[in-house]
Amino acid sequence: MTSTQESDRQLDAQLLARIAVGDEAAFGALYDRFSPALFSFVLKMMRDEKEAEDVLQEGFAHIWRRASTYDPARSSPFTWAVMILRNKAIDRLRVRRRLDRTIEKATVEFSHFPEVDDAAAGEAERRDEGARVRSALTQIPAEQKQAVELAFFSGLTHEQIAEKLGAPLGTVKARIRRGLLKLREFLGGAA
Amino acid sequence: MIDEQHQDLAAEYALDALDPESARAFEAMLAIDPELKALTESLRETAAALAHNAPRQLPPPELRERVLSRIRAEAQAMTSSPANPASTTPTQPTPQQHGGGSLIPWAIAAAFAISTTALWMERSALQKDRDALIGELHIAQERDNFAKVKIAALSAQVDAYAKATAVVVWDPEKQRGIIKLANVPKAEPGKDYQLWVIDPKYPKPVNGGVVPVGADGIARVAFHPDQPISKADNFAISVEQAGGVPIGQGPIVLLGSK
Repeated sequence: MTSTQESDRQLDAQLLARIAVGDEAAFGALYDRFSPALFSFVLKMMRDEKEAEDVLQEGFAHIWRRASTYDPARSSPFTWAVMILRNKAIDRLRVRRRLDRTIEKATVEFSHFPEVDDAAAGEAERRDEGARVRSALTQIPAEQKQAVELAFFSGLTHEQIAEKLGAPLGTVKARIRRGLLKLREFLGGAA
Repeated sequence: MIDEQHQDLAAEYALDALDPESARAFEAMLAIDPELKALTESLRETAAALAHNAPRQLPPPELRERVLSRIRAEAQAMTSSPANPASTTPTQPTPQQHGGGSLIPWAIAAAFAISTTALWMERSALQKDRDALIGELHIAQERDNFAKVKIAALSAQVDAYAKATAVVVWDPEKQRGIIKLANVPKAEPGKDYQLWVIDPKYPKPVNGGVVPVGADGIARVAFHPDQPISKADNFAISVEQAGGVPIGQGPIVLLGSK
């Protein structure tokens, strides 16, 4: 971990400690530090700005209520926040999928609706951390990258990923494991 | 050395992919295996770093105020609740309670400390119960919202659209919907398909926006009607001037059955 990352982590942990005792200014500061990256991430998962806004709002309200449960020994504040928002996003994605399944049942021959193109989401400026992660992702085999990204962003279970990729469950689990281990190695500091 | 099976479990746990029972069993393993715990935590950090691999987009500026308003409202609700910690704030001892060598003030203080601790523990438990109830409420609301969602299939009003299929899903709570079309003929040059929501509150159908249909005859569009909808009685698709019109004038080609 670089010294900048370490000092960021300490600052964020201090903010969470203040939020835990109801410090609204600390909450505002944490929102300013985390919301750009978290919003981008949630938007990538939800592919809908309104829903991404709702998830961000729910996630930060959760952070406000549960800041006292943050354990610095277990994860960085950013990781803790990412996992909170990811779970909120997955809850919504599952509701949306149930809805989609209902639609499919209601129609006779609906299929092959085009997927939203990730590239269409724009190519705005990214932080160094984003460049580092992208660079690491280019260094792992494509099938591992695909499995890891599906596991992280889609909210699909590993069984659903296996079905989607037409691969045995064990193979998918192995790809996710190897992909994460290699990413950890390339990212170094994140691990 | 951690074997592959445990590495798999660590990766799944890091991604919250284990079912609750397996997660609890794995947590028991983590409690006694520092090496596995370190691996799991590092994989979790690695997974979370993937969040940076998203196209950068800033949240709308007004969202910050909405979030702050929400937490202020929650904080206010907490302070006005009966379990408010202010009600357990110890008062200062009176001057006559100081000194004198009597053990009574200390006994009172000790009793007070015990009762304060008990109240604090009770408050913590109440807070946990409250959080759990809020969580359950959100799930119930989500289910309820799902139950309230209206789904309408639209059918052709003219022969040229006989093969077309159209489904509208409308969420009255969020005032937005999704329309999916398939096998729809390409709109003539200078024309667009436009969605209308029929609400008895309004004398005319409410504009749901233009529905761009691809060359493959397929469309999937999220829509937000121009006006607040009280009751979405029906939905219709008409052919209008390119770019859409505020009041429908063209022929209705697809219509839901009431």
